Amino acid sequence: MNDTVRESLSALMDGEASELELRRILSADEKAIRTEWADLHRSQELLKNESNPFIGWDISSRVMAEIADDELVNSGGTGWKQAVSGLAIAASVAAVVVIGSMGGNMFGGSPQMVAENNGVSGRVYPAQASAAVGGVAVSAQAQASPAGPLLNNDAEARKRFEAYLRKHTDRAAFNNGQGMVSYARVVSQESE
Amino acid sequence: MLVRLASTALAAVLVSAPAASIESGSELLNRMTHSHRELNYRAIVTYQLGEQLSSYRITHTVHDGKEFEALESLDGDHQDLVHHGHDINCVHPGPQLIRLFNAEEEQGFYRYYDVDIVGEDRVAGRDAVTLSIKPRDVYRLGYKLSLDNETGLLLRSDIVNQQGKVLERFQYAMLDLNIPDDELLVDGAIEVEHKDVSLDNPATTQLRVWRPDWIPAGFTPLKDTDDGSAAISYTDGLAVMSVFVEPLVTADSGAVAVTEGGMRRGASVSYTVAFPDNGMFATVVGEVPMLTAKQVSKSLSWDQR
Repeated sequence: MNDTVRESLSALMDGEASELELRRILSADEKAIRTEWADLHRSQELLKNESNPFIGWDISSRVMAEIADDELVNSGGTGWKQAVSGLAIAASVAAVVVIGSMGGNMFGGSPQMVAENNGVSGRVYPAQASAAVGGVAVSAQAQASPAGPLLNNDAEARKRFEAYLRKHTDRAAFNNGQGMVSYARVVSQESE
Repeated sequence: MLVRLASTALAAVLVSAPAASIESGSELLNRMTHSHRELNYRAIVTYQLGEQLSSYRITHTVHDGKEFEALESLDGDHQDLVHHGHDINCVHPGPQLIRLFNAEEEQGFYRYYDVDIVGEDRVAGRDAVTLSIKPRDVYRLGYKLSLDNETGLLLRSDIVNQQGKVLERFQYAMLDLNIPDDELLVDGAIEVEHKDVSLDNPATTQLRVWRPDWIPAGFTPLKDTDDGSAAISYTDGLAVMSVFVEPLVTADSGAVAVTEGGMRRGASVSYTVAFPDNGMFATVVGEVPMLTAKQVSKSLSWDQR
């Protein structure tokens, strides 16, 4: 991290960062920024003779993990979601309402998959609603799933997953402390 | 009345407390990892995945120093799996990771999980002790395990995600420890293969030109990988994940359509990433959080040749 960024960070801490400085911080190396930010706080507290029990905590990785998990669960249909929002921008409000209300069931497989997809339709509505009134569909789409889509409905990928899971279980059963029971994961899948 | 109830409860606690404190969490875990291989037993096990419940009969015997196992599905299509002739002395890295260390020293396995005895339970008509195993980082799942007091057998296992939600549950409904050791001379069922391939074999190490640049701390590669070129597995003692690599284009099936993304079923997830520059795609499968599968699959790199 260079001195300019460091100065910007210091300014941000004093609540005096300009917009330019803020942008500079946001585009700098994430990890270095986090360390520096923690260091700055630590030295300030030393100066002020305060102590903070949370000082060593960096919950960012945990938060990111939760976001990644959440978005995976909610992102069953990024592809068609994008298509849908395209329609919305073209002001086909009616089409949005029809497709939107068909929601997850349209692409659902087994009952379990449908349950997972319900999260999708729940998320789609707000984005479409704002698009319909000429709002921010694009930015709403931009947050969709950096973790990638869940491919549970892709038959090819599913077949591959089953084959891999079988091979994986051959190794896992000897090492996860559960033994033969682990094969229930494979067998229950094949009999679905 | 209340007083009497309270005093009986207190007496029960006093009587049972020493029994629980004899073994620490790490001793219990250690017992769990080998008891299921050493005993003769037959059990009915249920496996629950969300709303779906299935049951299995599992039989395990040790005959002449070899393990014989069978898993038989009791509902839906008839499916049998047998696994036989596995040397009981064959050591696998997973149990070893638990055996070699103990909780007090905070080493190995115990650096990555907090293991606590949370109480007593009754599973399949047997007294059990319940362990809570919490991951210390975001790269593994949590476990709630109930182990048989007498034998250490795992009678119930909940795998929970980082948010505390139960992803899948195994639970014994019946356990019979009095079965003859020649019970399992089954024929006609699918054999579960287990090949021992040493990692030192130059032929296989030469074939594998890829590796993940990142795996979570505490995961160790398994040596019993059947084919060194196409897959490698890692374990931290409880969680196991495998990395599979395949060509994007094959002679017999042409180009494979690969979309980057994840799959989830119970505690098992997979994440697939294509590496077009190398003409390959990689899939990480395991009982780990999606974040772990994704980061490992994305970290794959190939040797420069």
